[in-house]
Amino acid sequence: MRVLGLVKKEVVSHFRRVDASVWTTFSSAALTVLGAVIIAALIGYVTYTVDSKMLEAASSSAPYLIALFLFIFAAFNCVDGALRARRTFYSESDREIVNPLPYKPYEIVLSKTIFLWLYQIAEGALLSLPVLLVFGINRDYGAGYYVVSVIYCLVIPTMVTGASLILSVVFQWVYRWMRGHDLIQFLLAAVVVVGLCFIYALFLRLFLASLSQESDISGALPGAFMENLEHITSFMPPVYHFIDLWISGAHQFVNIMVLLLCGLALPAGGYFLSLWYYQRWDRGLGSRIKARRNRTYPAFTNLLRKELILLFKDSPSIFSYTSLLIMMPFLGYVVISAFNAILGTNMSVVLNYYPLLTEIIDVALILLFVSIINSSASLSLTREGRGLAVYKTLPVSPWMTIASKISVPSALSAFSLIVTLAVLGGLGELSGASIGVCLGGGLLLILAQNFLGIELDVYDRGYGRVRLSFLASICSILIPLVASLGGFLGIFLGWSTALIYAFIFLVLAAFSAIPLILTCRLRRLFVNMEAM
Amino acid sequence: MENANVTLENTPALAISELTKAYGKQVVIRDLNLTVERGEVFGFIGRNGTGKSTTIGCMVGLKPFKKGRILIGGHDIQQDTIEAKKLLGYVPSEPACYEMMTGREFLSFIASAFGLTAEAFDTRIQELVARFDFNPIDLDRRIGHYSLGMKQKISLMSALVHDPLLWVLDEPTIGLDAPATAELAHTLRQQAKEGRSVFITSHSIEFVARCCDRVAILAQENVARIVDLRGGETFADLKLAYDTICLHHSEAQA
Repeated sequence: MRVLGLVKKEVVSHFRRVDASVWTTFSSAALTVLGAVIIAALIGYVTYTVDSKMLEAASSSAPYLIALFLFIFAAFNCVDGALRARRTFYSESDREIVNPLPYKPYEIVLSKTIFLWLYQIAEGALLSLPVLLVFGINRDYGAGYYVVSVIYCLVIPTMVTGASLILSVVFQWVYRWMRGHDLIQFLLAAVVVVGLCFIYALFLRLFLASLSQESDISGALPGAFMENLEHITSFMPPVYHFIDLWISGAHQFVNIMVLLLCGLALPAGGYFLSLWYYQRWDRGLGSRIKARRNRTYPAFTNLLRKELILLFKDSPSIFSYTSLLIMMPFLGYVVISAFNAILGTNMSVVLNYYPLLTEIIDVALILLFVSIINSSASLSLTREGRGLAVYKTLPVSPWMTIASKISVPSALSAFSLIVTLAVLGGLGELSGASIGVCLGGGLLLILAQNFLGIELDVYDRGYGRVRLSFLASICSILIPLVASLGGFLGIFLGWSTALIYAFIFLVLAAFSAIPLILTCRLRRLFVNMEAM
Repeated sequence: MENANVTLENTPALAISELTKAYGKQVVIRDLNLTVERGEVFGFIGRNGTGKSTTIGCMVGLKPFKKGRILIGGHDIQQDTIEAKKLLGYVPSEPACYEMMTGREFLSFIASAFGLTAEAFDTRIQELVARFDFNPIDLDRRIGHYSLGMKQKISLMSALVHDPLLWVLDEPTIGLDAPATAELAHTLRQQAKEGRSVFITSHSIEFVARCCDRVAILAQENVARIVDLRGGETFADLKLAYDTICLHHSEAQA
């Protein structure tokens, strides 16, 4: 009962927001359920189309493709669970509350483990159950199949919980070690983002291929991969062994032994390793922090450093801007190449009449990407948070402050855009004219958005009765869309290529000119801004 | 340090004249006049909503105002902003630090903004760590992981890192334990002894009485009375004046 009380505390602290009204709680829960249903429906749909095509092709690899899907979901659950476990186990604020209470460390660790296990079951069921259900429905399996499906959703998450606990200890160790190594943090984040992009690319190709009635699903995956799927999935314990035992009934002894080993060793190993490391962390062992040198910087460099710290070390900025910035070249390539391939295959007739259509879609997508990503960093005074109260008391000229706030996100976004265009141009996905328009228009958009962000921020702090910062997000979508729609209109009206690109650029330039012209008032507005 | 030398000689640390601050038609401060001499610890007390924080906001450049003048060491905060700000150290009522920075990064940021050299910063940080009994190991932890008391200490240290002429503190005792509060009172007096000035608001009359030379009691948009604790008036006089003014204010509002 004591442990259950702690489990309840974990559930409440994870899901209940402080000061949330009944309406907020209800709407938040409703949105979560809706999101879960959409994800489950999407997974079910993709699985259905992929599996149906595999069945039509009478492919013997079908069960192993399902095993691949389930393993990817299990791996995702494992990493996600490890991140959640790290936050759950090694929280300073939680330690301050729980430590004075009369609980033994094994009870605290057990309660957190039970909470994580329950979470894994829910998350695992959300991702895996649609795959299993579709697979069964496609083959008219009986009730026994569905019972085993439910067992799968209990057994595999138990093993995944154990693995995620082991991984969380590794994450915590790496996290502690990396605290003093900023460059390694950045490089690791870049590697993770690139990895995520490749996974995303795989799913995007599958999804787009599944949308197309004519396309062959195997085209979305390398041929050698499909031929060796059974062999490849055999290295994916324990999902493969569960599926193999269940579907083919072969290698029973080996499969049962692997499942037993994973079922016992992973949860037990995860629990005891977490208990050991939690006690070590609780006693403050291994928390040596390397003392840094006391340094100072010239005024402008100092402001630039601060902006970089806000963008690269603040969680909201990392997830809304920095990681997307690193991701953009990969994401841009993945999406543009997939669109080009699908449009080239399925809309060849339309493209015969309107050959520029693909290029304008590509331009629209790139402008949208750069605009949306950059807009998340454009409200640079909001990003200050409570620090604004100190920031405005510093003896620094307003223009230097504004310049530092504009230049850091502008330079980062521009660099990401240039790399994206270089990748797309180098791999032959974009024409020279498209690159020119994207570069010119994109740079203008970036600069204008960052000025607009400060202008809206300043306006919201004391000048306007209505808050206007939401306009930053709206403009980031609207302006590239309007410019691109003009381009599409030009295609259908039969304008020349040069005229279409000139029109897109002029529309972007016209919109961008507004915030740039308003900068003549910016210094006075900034000085007179209420910052308290 | 060198920043203090920027000040014009023989001018008060703070001179407020005819300050009026309004939000639309609602006047918060009307024709306020105050002077804080060099080497003086000046208290500023009043009930909630009487305009203490607004006055501080105007003094440190966070709130613009249309009427009146505020001089910091002889420099106008609205006309000669940068020179005036160089003489100020401001501690907000809630610690306003960048939580993703370490304590050392934050102090370095503030020191760099005030133009300190690495050597001066190094010396200063060692003094401050010792004065506020701050564990040096914690300087390399993120501020987001600090307790409220530690955040308050970092906020106090950041406002002193450049050795300002005028130290402005808005409710600085919130979050501090008893020893840290006593140390703060000692530091305030120490600043005054060294020729610096302190402007402090607090809800604790005892704390203000313990460390201030003069205390202004704010009521109804202006200073109702200034109690001179170094000129012969006592804690009892301050308490009586405060209670009387607050009672009068309540009756006027009723």
